[in-house]
Amino acid sequence: MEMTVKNQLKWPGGKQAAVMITVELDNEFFWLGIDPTNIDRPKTLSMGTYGLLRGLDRVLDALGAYGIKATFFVPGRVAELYPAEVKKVISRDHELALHGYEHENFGLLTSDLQREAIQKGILALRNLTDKDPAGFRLPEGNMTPETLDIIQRSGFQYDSSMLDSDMPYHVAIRGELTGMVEIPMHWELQDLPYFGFNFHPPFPAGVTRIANYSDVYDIWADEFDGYYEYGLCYVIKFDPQSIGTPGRIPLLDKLLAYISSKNVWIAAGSEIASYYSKVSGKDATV
Amino acid sequence: MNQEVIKWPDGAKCAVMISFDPDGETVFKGTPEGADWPWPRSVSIGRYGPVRGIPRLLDMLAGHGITATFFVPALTAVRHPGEFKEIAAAGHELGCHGYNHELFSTLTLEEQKDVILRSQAVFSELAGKTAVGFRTPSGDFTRDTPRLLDDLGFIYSSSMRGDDRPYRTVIDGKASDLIEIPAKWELDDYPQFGYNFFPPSPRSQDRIESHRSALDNWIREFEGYYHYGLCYVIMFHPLLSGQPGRVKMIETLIEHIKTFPGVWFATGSEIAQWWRENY
Repeated sequence: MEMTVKNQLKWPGGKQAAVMITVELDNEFFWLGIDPTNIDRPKTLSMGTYGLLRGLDRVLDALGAYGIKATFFVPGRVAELYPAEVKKVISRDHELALHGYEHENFGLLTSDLQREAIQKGILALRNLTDKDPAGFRLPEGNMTPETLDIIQRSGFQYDSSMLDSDMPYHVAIRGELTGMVEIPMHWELQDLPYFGFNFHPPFPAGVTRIANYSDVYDIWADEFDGYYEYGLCYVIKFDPQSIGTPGRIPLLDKLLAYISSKNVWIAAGSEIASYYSKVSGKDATV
Repeated sequence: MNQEVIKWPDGAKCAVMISFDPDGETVFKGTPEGADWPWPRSVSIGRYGPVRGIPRLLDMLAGHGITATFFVPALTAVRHPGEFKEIAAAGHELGCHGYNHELFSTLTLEEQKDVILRSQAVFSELAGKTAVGFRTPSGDFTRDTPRLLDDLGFIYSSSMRGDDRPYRTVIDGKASDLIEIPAKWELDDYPQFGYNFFPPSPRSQDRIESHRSALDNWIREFEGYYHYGLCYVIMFHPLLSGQPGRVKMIETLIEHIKTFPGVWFATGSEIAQWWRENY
């Protein structure tokens, strides 16, 4: 493939860049995924449950104010425990995608356990939507060399876990291009690395300061400007437990207002994957 | 019901609880039993709080007519009885914060009870009254701590993180009279300013946050809490925010909050009492 700096792909409707707004509903499983003994730490868990209790409605309101269809990555167990909240997301026409079963770290699981987590997760989402999720994103943590193969064989149209591009691409497995589209994400373009905090057990691992809100907004907006100029696919992710506080939700609102004012295609994961497959001529279902 | 607008006293738009955790020397401990660090230089960071911070903070609060809530480890009261009595004499509320700032999640329920009763005895002796509010020191308490607090007659706890308004703590499946007034890491000066060179604390030895940057976040959160009509609980540690420039930082925050009409500045027990009577 020849090296390109400017994006050569044309986005639908003559738009200059694509934007995928993603939301993860990790709730208490973010903290249980870091340390299972947190089950006996009610204060630590309560940071997670704040997400669905208070943050979610504020996030939905902000998305609704700009008519944005977002992609919600939900651990299967969250769909089982909080069906009313997840149905609320579906009823607002957002896309539901899978985010593990209990937000497990796939990098520490055998292939069999990875497959099991994905199958249990698919089942949990299917019970709420009557269809299989089209997309998958790894929970925070890592993957093994087998993971992408497992995801692809589980029937997903797209994955959004990797950090190696700022454009969609077809995933190659053992040297063969598959139909599964990768829509890469980046640690910079999310909320938890800046805002997540706990002393015991420590998060971030080194217990750093909570970032300045104004600075974080600037990072997201400055990166957007870059993606926009180069015509790329801007993927940002939020968790209501983190972005949903009274002082942070205005950051989301301001970012959505800014992005919406530009000539961008704001799309859900399956829309981006379908479009990319159409243009590439490679069927996503192959 | 979930997003119901809260009714505050006299039609106030939101509640603000200014709180202080004067941990003093108890923040630096070398053993679970609470022996002091063998590092006097570090311990002196803690001592700065009661010795220099508290008088300055009490003076600033008096100037603004603010009644605050102080969660004091009993050992700090024993070590600094004069400052402790000054807090009480100025009309501020005293809350329980362990005896030696123990991490409650590492204690049995019996040990937790012993810590609380010994602390209340100190409060009784030095201030002539016991605490009705509790804030778990540092990390988590255990799942059965709320029942213990309820049994011991506390009317509120300000320990959890999971809400931005008070609620009745569920004990044995039932909403109890123990009101939780949740606090937040993002409304706490310790994550932003706490520092020790050797041994390293925080373990990342991250840069110390600027006063203005921290203040910017706290103001942004306040404006959000005000917008939604919630209960803004902010937490300062005199060993950090008793420094002259940071006292002025807190003063700037209070002055900013006061430019908003209808803010109810309240102590923990006032908020808990209101919640018990209305929710």
